[in-house]
This record gives sequence, C-alpha cells and structure tokens, in this order.
Amino acid sequence: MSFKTTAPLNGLAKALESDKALRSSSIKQADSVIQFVVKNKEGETKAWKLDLKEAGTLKEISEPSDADISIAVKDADLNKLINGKTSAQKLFMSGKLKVKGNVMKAAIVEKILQKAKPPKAKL
Amino acid sequence: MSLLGGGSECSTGANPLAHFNKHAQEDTSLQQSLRNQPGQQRRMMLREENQMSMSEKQHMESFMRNDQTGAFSFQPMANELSNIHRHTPLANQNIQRGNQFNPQEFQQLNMRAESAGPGWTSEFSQSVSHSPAQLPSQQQQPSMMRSSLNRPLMGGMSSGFMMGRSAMSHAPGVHANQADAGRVVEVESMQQWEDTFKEYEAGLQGREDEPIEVNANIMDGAFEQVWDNIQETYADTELTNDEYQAAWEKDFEQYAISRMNYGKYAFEEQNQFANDPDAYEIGLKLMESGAKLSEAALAFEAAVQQNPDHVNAWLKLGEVQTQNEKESAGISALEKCLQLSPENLPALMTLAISYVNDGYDNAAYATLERWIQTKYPQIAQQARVENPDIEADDRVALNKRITQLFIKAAQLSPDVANMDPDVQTGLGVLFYSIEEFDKTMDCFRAAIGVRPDDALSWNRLGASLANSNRPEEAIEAYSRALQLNPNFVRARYNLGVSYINMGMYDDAIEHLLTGLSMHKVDGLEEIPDGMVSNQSTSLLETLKRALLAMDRRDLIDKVKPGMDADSFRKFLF
Repeated sequence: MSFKTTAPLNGLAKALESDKALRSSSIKQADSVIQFVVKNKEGETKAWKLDLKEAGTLKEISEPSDADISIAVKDADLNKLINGKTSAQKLFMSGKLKVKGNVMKAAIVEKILQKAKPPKAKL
Repeated sequence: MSLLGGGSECSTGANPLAHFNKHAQEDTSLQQSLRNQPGQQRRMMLREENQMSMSEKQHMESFMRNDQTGAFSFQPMANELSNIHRHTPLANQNIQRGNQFNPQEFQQLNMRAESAGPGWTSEFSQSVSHSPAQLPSQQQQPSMMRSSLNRPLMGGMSSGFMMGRSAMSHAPGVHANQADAGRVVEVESMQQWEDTFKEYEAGLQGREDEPIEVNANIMDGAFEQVWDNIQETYADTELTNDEYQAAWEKDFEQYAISRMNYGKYAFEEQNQFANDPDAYEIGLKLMESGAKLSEAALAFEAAVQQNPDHVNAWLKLGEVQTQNEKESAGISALEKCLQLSPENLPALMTLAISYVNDGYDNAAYATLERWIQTKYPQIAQQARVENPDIEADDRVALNKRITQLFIKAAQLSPDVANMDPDVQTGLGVLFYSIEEFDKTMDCFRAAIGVRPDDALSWNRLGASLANSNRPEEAIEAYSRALQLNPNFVRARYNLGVSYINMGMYDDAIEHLLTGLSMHKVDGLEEIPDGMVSNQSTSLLETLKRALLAMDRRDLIDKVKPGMDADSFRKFLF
C-alpha cells in the first residue's frame, strides 16, 4: 500500500488537531463531513474522513461510510491537487475527480487540502 | 452536481448534445400533459419555475443595480461554457438546469405576454439580434437554446419570448462591453420585463407553499456558489483558452491590468514617511545602508501615495516586498508598475519570478515573453516570421516556446564577458517551473558569474538546490545571500524551509523568527494584532509547521499575524 498522499494528509490531520485557528476557520468554511476515496496505481483504495461539521478532524477510515460529500480521486491526482499543480475544478471537468453530494463545496475542500502542501523554497 | 439533478450519472451521456435534446423533449411532453391534467406533474413544474425565477430575479436585480462585481461577470461564464463544451460529460447538468426552465416557463409567460402587449416582445427580439454577436465566445449557448425552441409546439409568441430571455441572460456582459443606444433599449425592455416578472411572481407565490420555497432558496444559494467558484478559478482557466491566449498577444497592457490581478496594493496605516517629500530617495538610501526591508517599503509606499504615477517607486516597492517575503504585496505593486509602464524590464522579470513562486506558471511565461519581446524584439520578430502559426496553449508547449526565445537570446552573446545575466535568470526560471533543476542551476550560476554580489541570484540558486533535494548545498547558497544582504527575509524563509526538510526544527524556527522580527519597524508605536496590512503568511504557516513537527503544539496558537518574535522566543527555550 503505497500512497503519495498519506504523508501530506497525515500532516494536515496533525495540523487540524493542534491548530485551533485552522480548525475553526475550516469548520466555518466547509460545515460538512467530507470523505475521500483514494485509489493508488496498484488499484488499492484508502478512505479518509474529513469531519468539518463539528469535530474538525481528518482520519483514515477502514470503510467508506456516510458523508455529506464523497470525493473519489486517484492518489496521483489528489497529490497534484494538494501541491497546487492542478485545481479541483480542472480535475472535475476532466472526470478525474468524482463528487457525490454538494459539488460547490469541492472548492473549499481544495483550499483546506492545500494546507497540507509541504513548504517550498522560493526564487 | 448531483445536488442539482439527483444523480451523478451525468457522465453516462457520451454525447452531451444528445443528452441536451432529450431533456428538452421531456420537458415539452410535460407541458402537453399540463394542458390535459393538472395535478402532480404540474406541481413539480411550478416548483422548478419558482426556483429558477427566484435566481433569475436575483440576477436581474444585480444587473439593474449595475452590479458587476457580484455573481454576474459573464466573461468567466463564457470561458466556463467553452470548457464545458470541450469536456462536457461531467458538466452538463449545469446547462440542463438552464435548459429545463425555459420551455416550461414560456407557457406561463405566454399568457402574461398577451396582457403585456406585443410591443415589448418585439423589443426583445431586437435586442437579441445584436447581443449574442457581440460576444462571440458565447454563441454556443444561445444557439443551443434556440435549437430546443424551434419545435413546432412552441410556435408564435414563444420564440420571441425565449430569444428575449437568452438575450437577457447575456445582458450584463453586453452591458460591460457596450455603452449607449443598444443598452438603453435593453434596459427599457428589462424594466418592462421585470414588471411582468413581478406580476407573475406574485401570482405564483399564492399557489406555492412553504417547504418548496425553502428548497428553492437553498438551490439559489448553491447556484450562487457555482458562480463564485467559477470566478475564483477564472484566472487559471482563462489562460488555457486559445482565444484569450491570442487576445493576449495583441494586447498585453490589458492583460497586465485584468488577468492575474492581485488587486490594489494595501498600504500600512502607520507610516513615518507619509508626509516626507523625499520619501523615494530615503527609500533608496535605506536599501543601500542595509536598513530593514520593511522600513524601505514604508518609504516607497509613502512615495507612491504622494505620487501614484511614480513608476520607479512602484518598482522598488515590488522588489522590496518580494525580497521581504511578502509576495502578494510585491505582486500588487509590480502589476501596478507595469500598468503605468508596460515595458518595464526589471518589473517584468521580478513579476514573472513571483508568479512562478505562487504557482501561476502560465502568467509567468506570458510575462517572460513580454520581457524578451521588449528587450530582444528582433528575436521575437524572427520567431514570428519563421513560424507565424505558433499558438501554444498548454503549459508545456508555452514553456517550450518561450524557452526557445530565451535560448536564442543567450546565443547572441556566447562569450561570458558579454553575457546578459537577465537572460540567464529568465531561462533559469523557465527550467525551474518545469522542474529541470540541473539546467536551472546552470543558468543561475551563469548569472552569478556575471554578478557575483547579487544576493537575489544566490538565493535563487539555493532554491533550485533545495528543490532538487540538496538542502546542504542550498543552505550554503542562502548563507551567501544573507552575507551579501542580512535583511533578505526571503533567504531566511528559504533557510527555514531547508532546515525543516532536514529535520532540524530548532534551526528552522530560529531563522523564521529572525525573518519575522525583520518585519517590525523600530520607532513606530506598537501595532495591535492583525493591524499590519501586508502579512507574510508563508513565514507564519511555515513556523507553525516546524512547531508541529517538533511537537510544540502548545505554541501554535501564539503564531498569528502581528506576533512578537522576541517574546515568542522566551516560550520556546
């Protein structure tokens, strides 16, 4: 099970857990439970639950469950999204990102996900 | 999307147009049955009518208020539409929704129209005859609508009506592009239309009950969000659009104003140089004497506040703010500088680099192209003659094309003595953005060869080393940059990033805090939290990351705009 997105998502989980300001602003923006079903190159899947309704947590879950928004995406594409190399809208338009539920929230999710982007040197 | 239509199966329709027509036919049949038997189906329709009429009304109102800033800029929609047509399967629900209400509504409106008299219908027809033509990129939409209208069932009045409707949905765009006569006619007919609309609305509300009302409002909110969403990603999508790419070639000036607009520069409220007539000269002296960049920035801010057309002050302000690790402020200033002086070479180069840092690669390429066209017009000219059809539209092709131009410029002076270090820098930036770091470093080293005391080039070399996983060497380069200019906050930030990547969090935090303390200007009163206009979010975010990584979660909440770096150190150790 190798997923490129595991490390940044764990980082985001940690950030949400300890950063009160980030947690409350994210909840305020999204106000939903968002589930990610991520598929890697080997065809394995991993599910994450981003609870921005009340708890303000991101957790890996064993089975996809109920969520306000469910997002299915490939590991590589999600990694690009996190690193700002593409946008949720581009992925959505090209069918690489599938959304069940309120699609308008996908843009908000994108912003929150990019908090998981590793810091990058600047020219 | 399934929120709108109840099912994410929009991807199943291989041909979106077929899907489209199918939908219109369904609606027509609904109408037929409406005549024969009211009841459940009729209820369903009323609900949709209401939902659309509400949002339509909102849009109408925003138009009447001349509100261009709200949900109603149609240029993005035009782009969006052409995107949708390209990638349709997933996106067509949005269009369907628009399509749904039209045929249903017309019958109701038909009845109203009879009472309103035929005059305004013809006015509508008039207005429709010019509006779509003015916005060529939108033509697809009206024509699609019309195709569903030309069914025999909807003869007579309806077509005039429907055309009026499509004209109206374009009206704000038209309004933006054209003034005077045509618009007056439209506005008048709009007025009538809205009156009729209110009548119709009132009649309808009597028959509606509460829950449906609520539902409609939710849908409207969702619709607004789609708009906002589209507008947020406006900048990105539009650059991939052939048409706008071509338009850009013709008119860079407009581009500089409208494309990648970071908005107005936000000035600090407290500024000790505010009334100093020599603010610009003071700023230059401050930079020379090695004062804090924030202080120099204040001087240049004062200079442009006194004289908003001071090109060099805007340029210096932009350069200082980017070096000060306040990228957004720097970009705003540089964009303003280019608006005043579209061919300002240093501003173009610095802005391109900032765009790359912020991930706007296409904007960066366009800016670099403008740089080379300005400095080496013969090369750009030659390229155009040799291959007049060059229309690169995707990121990679665009990068390749501009890189070729820069390589040709570099070949003009193959001997080191006469080399143009700026060409090397530009080339380095182009390679950097496609992650060819070995070539990047060659270019930046060449630039350093010509200008060994340029702190900026050393920092750029460091960033390329860091991104190709050579943090130790990167740190050496950053240190050299800081030796040359100890106040270079960006190099501090980069040092922090490299130490984080090496797992040396104490060092990282030390450098980040030093960077933050550079943003405090001595001699000013204590500025309350969050009152500083231009923050460096990157410094704060990166500091949080380092604290997280070293499990000092207790300190995270203390990292916020306006924090005092020195007192923070006391908590730390």
